[in-house]
Amino acid sequence: MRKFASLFTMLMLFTALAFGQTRTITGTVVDENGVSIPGASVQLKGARTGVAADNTGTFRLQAKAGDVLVVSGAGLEITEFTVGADNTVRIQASRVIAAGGEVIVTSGYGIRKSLRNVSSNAQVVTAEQLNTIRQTNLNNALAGKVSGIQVRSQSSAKLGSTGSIRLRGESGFGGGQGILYVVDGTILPNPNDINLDDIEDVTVLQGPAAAAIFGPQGAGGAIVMTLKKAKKGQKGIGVDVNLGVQNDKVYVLPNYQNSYAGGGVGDLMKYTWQPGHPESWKRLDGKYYHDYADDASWGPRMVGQEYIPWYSWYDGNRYSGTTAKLLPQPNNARDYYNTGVMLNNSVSVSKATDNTNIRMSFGNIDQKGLIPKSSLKKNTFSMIASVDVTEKLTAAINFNYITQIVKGQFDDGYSNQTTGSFNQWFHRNLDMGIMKELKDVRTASGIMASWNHLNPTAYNPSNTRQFYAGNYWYNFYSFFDQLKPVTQTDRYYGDISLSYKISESLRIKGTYRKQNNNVWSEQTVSSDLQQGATQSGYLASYSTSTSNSNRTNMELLITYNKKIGDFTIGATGGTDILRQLIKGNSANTVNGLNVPNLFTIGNSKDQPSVGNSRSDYRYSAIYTTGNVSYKNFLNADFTLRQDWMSDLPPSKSFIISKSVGASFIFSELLKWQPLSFGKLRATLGQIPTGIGTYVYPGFAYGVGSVQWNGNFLMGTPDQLVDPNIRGSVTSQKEIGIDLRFLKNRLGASVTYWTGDDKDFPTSIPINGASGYTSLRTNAGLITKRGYNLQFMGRPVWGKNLKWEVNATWGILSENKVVTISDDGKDDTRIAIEGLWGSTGPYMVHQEGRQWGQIFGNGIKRINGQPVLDANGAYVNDPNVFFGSALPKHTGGFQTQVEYKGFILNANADWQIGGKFFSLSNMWGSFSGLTARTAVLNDKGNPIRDIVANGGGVHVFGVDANGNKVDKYVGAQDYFHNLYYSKTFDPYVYDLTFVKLREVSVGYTLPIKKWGVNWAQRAVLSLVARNPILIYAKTNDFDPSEISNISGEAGNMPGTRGLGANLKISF
Amino acid sequence: MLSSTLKEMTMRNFSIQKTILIPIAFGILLTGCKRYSSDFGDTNVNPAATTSPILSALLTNVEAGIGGYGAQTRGGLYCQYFSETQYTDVSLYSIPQVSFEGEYSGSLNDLQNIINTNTSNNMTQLARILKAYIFSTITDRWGDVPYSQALKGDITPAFDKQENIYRGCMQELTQAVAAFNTSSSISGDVLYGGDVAKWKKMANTLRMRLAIQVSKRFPASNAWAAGEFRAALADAGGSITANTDNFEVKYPGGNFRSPWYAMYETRKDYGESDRMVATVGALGDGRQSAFGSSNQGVPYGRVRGFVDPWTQANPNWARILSDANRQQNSSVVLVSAAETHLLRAEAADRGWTTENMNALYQVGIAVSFAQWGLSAPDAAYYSQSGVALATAAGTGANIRNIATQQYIAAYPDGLRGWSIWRRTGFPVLTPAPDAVNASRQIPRRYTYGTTSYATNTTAVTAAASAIGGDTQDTKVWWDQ
Repeated sequence: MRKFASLFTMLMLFTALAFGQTRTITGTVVDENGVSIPGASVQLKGARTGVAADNTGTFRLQAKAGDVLVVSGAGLEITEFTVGADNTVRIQASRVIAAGGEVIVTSGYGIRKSLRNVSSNAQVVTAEQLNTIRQTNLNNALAGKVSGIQVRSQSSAKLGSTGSIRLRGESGFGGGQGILYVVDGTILPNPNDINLDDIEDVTVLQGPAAAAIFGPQGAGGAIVMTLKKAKKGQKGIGVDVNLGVQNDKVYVLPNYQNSYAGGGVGDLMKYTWQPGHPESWKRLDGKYYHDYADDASWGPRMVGQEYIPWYSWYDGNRYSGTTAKLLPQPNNARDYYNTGVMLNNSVSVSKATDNTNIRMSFGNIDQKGLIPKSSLKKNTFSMIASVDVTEKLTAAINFNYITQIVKGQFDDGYSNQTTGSFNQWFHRNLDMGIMKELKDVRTASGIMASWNHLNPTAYNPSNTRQFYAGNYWYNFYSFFDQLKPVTQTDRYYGDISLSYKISESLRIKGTYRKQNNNVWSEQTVSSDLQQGATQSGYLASYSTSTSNSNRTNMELLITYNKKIGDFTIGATGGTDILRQLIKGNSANTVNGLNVPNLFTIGNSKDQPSVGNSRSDYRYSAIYTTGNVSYKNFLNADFTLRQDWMSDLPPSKSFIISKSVGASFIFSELLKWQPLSFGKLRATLGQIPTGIGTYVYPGFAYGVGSVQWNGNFLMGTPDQLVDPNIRGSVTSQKEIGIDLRFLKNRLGASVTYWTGDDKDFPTSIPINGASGYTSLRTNAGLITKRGYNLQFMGRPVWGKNLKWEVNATWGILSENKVVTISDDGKDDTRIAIEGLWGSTGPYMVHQEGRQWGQIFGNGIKRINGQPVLDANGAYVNDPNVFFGSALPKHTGGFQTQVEYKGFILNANADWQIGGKFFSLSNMWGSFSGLTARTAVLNDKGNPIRDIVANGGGVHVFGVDANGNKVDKYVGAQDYFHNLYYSKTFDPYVYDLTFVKLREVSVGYTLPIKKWGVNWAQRAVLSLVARNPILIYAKTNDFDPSEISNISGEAGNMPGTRGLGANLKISF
Repeated sequence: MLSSTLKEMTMRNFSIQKTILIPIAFGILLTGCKRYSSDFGDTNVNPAATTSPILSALLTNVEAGIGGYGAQTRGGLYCQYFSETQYTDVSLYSIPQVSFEGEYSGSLNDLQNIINTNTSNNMTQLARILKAYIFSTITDRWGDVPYSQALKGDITPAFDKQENIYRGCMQELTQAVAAFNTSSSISGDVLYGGDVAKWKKMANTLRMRLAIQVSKRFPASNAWAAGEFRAALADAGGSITANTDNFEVKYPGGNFRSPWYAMYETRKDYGESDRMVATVGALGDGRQSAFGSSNQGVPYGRVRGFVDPWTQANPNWARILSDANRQQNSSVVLVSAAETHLLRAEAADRGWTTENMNALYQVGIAVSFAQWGLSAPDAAYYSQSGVALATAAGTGANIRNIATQQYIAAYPDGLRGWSIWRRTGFPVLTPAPDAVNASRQIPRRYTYGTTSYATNTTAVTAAASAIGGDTQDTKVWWDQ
């Protein structure tokens, strides 16, 4: 009622001021789609006051013909409308995409404010921008759309994988700090435990200045998601249905050689039947075979000659005893994978009335994976509702439940049974069609047929398994039939809250928040796998585990907003009390099963191994945040938070996070027409971190779960804990400018940021000769600085044709490890992650160099020249720095073209710099699979030809004395020596790439023309995911999907998806 | 109905709350924080661990893993006990970058913990003996390593000269033997069951081993090494003279299985080498029946392309140890009665002692046979030229055959075999025909691991230059 009263007063005022011809105009403000926009402000041009549209977008005001009405509002283009003869008008105002100062930024505890009043470079991604192609992975959906973000995606063959994100480089002395994901105030450990269709917008808070309100949890930055709520005044019945289907196919695979067959022997060998050999083999007498047992491809040249394929030796299939032509199979690895199919359907219902609003949604994702037998099924349920119990008291609930079952093995480590073979140990002549056809072939004693059985010379009638079973590998199809991992996740999270409006300016809100996750997983390895290969390492087994993690927050929030003269004050104070309990149990069989294929822990051959884990963690925090604005163009904001944390030593159990900033909207003073908006801003912040549950005081002895004849075992802990350990700080400051020109047609934001991590409480790997492997202490200094650049433009912005472009560019000028330890010791380097232990290049942090150096065994050089020994092999240097794992530049480019009912969206992202080590290519070259092992040398001869005949790899360099060396080395020796001499330079690659990641073409179906009244709107889209890897410095992998921080050990292939989507609003 | 009542109730209370609610809210806020903040009770106490070590469990932990020192393939590949059957890089002498740090932070630090805690004198002495044993194997592989500053929490310990490590180990053994008493108990000892007498014997034999190992540097009978040897021999505690006193790990099977058994469970990477089969075969030595699963030794030091087809064509190639000696519950012997006798024979040959060289030598061989459950060889075995000690004691002229017998008796403890060969040059070994290292010679040491370079850069760099270069061809101090 009060609103109407004030409206009425204003109307009276207008009436008094107006001249005789004025009359009452009744109008509606609608968006491009005809949906009414509530709350827009409508002003007579030149007048100082105006009216606000109500919840249905309707307004009334006094005007005369020829008057110009100016419509403005949050997220709206400023639109002018000239009053004509009609008393009823309909004004179409365009919604703007992240254009002016009216973007809403969400930080912690549901605090939302206008970007106008924010002093940091908070970036907001709206639902439309996020879901260009309806991604199912939040991290992937953000790629390229936020400046300063590096998205480390994973192959979509790995169902359910989330990938990870870096914001403004990396921190700490570990493998990376990780960032915080928050959904409507609840911390969400898995960013994919959400239905992306439910997201209204995503705010990316980079650095401590922006994320201070989260305290220690937010030290690495935060991604804050706000879920959609029901809105008043929507057309139709409020039901949205979103139907999607997408097919994924293998796209990027390493380049293989297609000239030489499998084995370690360069020639075909003649088979001679002998007494004792199976009678059925007599047919093969005198025929030739290649070496099956060596899982390399240094075999004979494939020229269509007759040979005995692997399957001919097994009886009972249609190829038994036959020969075939030895021909290249260039697509065998590609052919192995399924076409992945994903159905992604969701429905939501929302309804808002004067004092209640509710939105419910259901989402279902049903995926068949690229790897055989893999699948993912996920259901999401969400309900968000609030009721104004009185005008002052509001009760709200936010409930989300996600249940997911993932089946399949997605191992992408060394010697996994897909890429671990195809890219590392494989026969290039294998026909995958026949492989699939023969997946159930077994010997009379039940041994599964393998392409990697021994050679017939090894046949022993008294032990036929020795011959028939795989040497190292199984038929890939049989393998995935016999190994069954399942993981089921049930997570619910959300909150209930009561808020009370004490006065217009003062509100209080209490929230009880819960985030609970149950994970159950098991894996069975059949006894057939144990029997089916002699050296695969697989024993029949069963393992199972369950875990529960449970977070409870109790929050109290008091907000105060008041306009006093020219000042607007907004202040929030709150408390947050958390308890987090994690418990888990696990068990697995040891050394095989007693009864074959009976999968219970009790069936373990030896005493089963059991584990249980518990952790308990609490914090209590008080915080305050607020801002003061002067005349809406000068603004100051601050955040102060104090955390008491159970993991810190009791004597110093609290730490303080803080930030302060200011902004100046100079366009308000400048009043220069072409400049629609201009803001200068500066902010700085500091966030300390905790040290981790049970770390202090350390030195806890666990007991082993198995005993030696009744004697139990215990090991001395390997971690030293500094008794003076304390929480410490990461700090950043930034300055920036935001500019919009020509009525927001053109815009740019530039932010320069600089910061450091100092005395980080971290676990430093130390030399084991000390007796310990790590020291938990406050260590070192990392300095970082860089730029975040954002550009937007609307080259065409007409009624029929709209074209918008956005670009982001993050520059990481420096991310340097200045010191590691300040205790005067020379521990200037710490080892972090290795894919092949420390034999292959691995990741270290090195004083004086950029964070995350790929380091280790490489080629020794004198004045840049590689040193070669007498055999023509490179000489090892164990201390080679190959460069940082961090790319220096990241960015993206999005464009949207709207023409009549059509809308085209495209998103490309790119990065420059950063290194990784490829173990796949190392072994793939060792075993003669990669293209580089079968090229021509500079004489024009195949490098695999013997050196005396003009073959061999041409090597140049110097000897130990610096004298020139120039010779040819046999191809196999050359690639074997790279491993033997541990000279891995050829396998360190660059992460630089440009990738077209998302394309969608949508068409708004003219359903009204078709006479459809039961639906409001229907949009049909064709979408493509990863359609083109435009440029990659290495052709063998998609550099945006490298599995590990330092590289890959068996990376799954890059994939490309095509699909369609239909969205109907009722 | 309900909602309107609620509405009325709340409405009625508002005026009161307006004035009271704010102070209450702030009150809750402040007292709540005070109450919950500073005292988290036992929240941060790890429920799955104890803060005080249980020494018996630490000891069992070390002893459960110590058999690994007697089953290291790399030393055995260098001294040609074994061959690689498919991936032949170690026996082709590719760079041996191996890190020793895990041995310090693992077993050695458990032992140091027992010593530091020192709740039982005898457990402390036992831990000192085991520590000396492990340190001796480490320095034999790498040469100079951290010793005097190690295991003290010093995160960048300096490297010690090998001579000082040897002196330190021998001193530890001497002191430990002397410090044993009869009053303090030992628990968790799964090797000797807490039998102090046996530990003394083991320590004395080990002291003799170390003394002989440095004989190249101290050959004279009046020098330090010979003195140490004689002192160990003369010690009242005695030395290991019967196989029942052998320092060995008797695996219970199940969760703790012989490493030789586990090696072949799902792999077949190693076999007895054709060179070893030939060495033993040349003497008609019956121990071959225990040393391998057949007499078909695997060709040594050949590339994958050669040996892989060979093993397929010869599927009965000799696995390391006979099937009977390679069970889950088979033993791994680390210090034996045979070694004691053969060391004493060598000491007599060197003129360090005046003991009966020939008698000790022949007993040593017979005890070695007995260790494998074989009866002693006949007289013809001893009299053949490859076995018989033709020259009188005291000249060192019999080293060839004595060393060869030590080498055979130590099988399959590759670290021993490699050390015996490096010290004596016997048996004469020819490098791998397909060697890939620049020198094409058998490695004389392991190069320092990347872990040392990563976490102890200054110290390892200094050590590398002190020993004359961190290469596999650099001889350790006692080998020079």
